[in-house]
Amino acid sequence: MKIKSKFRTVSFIALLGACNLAVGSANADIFGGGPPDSGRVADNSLHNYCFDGAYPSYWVNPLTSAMVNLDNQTVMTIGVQYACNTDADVRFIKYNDTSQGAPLGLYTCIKFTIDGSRCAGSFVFLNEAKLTSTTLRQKTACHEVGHSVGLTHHYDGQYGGCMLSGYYYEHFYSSHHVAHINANY
Amino acid sequence: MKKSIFSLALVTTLLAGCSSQTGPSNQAKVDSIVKMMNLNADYEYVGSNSELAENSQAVVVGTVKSVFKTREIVSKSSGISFVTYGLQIQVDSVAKGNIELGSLQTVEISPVSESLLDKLDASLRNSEGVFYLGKLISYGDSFNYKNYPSISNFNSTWSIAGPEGLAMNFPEDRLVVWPLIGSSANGSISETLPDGSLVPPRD
Repeated sequence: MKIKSKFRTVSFIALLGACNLAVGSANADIFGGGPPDSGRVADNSLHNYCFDGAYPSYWVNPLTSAMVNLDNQTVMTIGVQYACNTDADVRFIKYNDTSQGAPLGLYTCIKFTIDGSRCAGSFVFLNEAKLTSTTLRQKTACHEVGHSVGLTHHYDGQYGGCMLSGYYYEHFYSSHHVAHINANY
Repeated sequence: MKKSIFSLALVTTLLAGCSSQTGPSNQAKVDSIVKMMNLNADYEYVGSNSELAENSQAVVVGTVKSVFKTREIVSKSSGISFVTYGLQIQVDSVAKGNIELGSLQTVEISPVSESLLDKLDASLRNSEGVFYLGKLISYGDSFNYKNYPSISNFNSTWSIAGPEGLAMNFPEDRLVVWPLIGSSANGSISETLPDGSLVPPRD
């Protein structure tokens, strides 16, 4: 009888624990699962980038800074491709969407590893109609590059840094996001 | 007796807690559609249909007739290309803009993997949606464009005016899905029109 009662108590605690665990997981931000919630984990810690087309210095400099920042803040190492190929982990592409509510930037993975679990090449589209200042270009590049290593974005400022969506000017990764990256490469 | 009542209350509470986390039964359908879009957008949340309408050149309710490739965009410097795809819609009603009722319009979404086109077509064909339409996106002079016959008429080809500007309707589940941002909410498509108050929930 005593054993039965103990078993019942333990079962309740286990059930309660399982439910609480589920709540905790749902509330934490995810990493690497793919759009629309997060970017995808890259194939390895060497992150190559390139510019598709001719870019003036007021574009090259903030985008390069965003890549250098990834290198400096995290375990990732960057490399530049002077001619883009399909293996570029980040291929910067400017586009022009003048709609009032158009995005600042977009990330999409275009090439996957053989087992499909990681991204081996991606496009980062930057909307020149919206990115009218150097700081905003750097913030948006930081944000999209963040997706290219698996980060999710957020809206409420919980973590800070460049993964906040919209017109903000922080162009560094928060310690929370740095920890996500470093734990996965 | 006290013990039994306590146990019953505890079990009820726990089960209620767990079931509330299960989410809607149609979550798989929503997940499947948004996954196919394969896109993360950095955008300013508008969160108001009237403001979305102000940002748009036209707003229509339409039924998806097919999904197809619209443009192949080839980089002049690297030769690497990507394709964009579009939804051909038949216009059921017009909330804003000079678009003929019953006409066919093409709504270009974004680059997507070609292998997903058939799946997207199967998921979205005959679905109704609200489309906040803007000018067709340009990728600039660094690219050559190969246009597929599907968009020979640029007067009836649009882009979505912002990621919140595409809402698909699943009336059998009383569900509205915003596939470009991965949101969904219970409600009807009419509530997502410019004078409606149903907007995509934020994370």
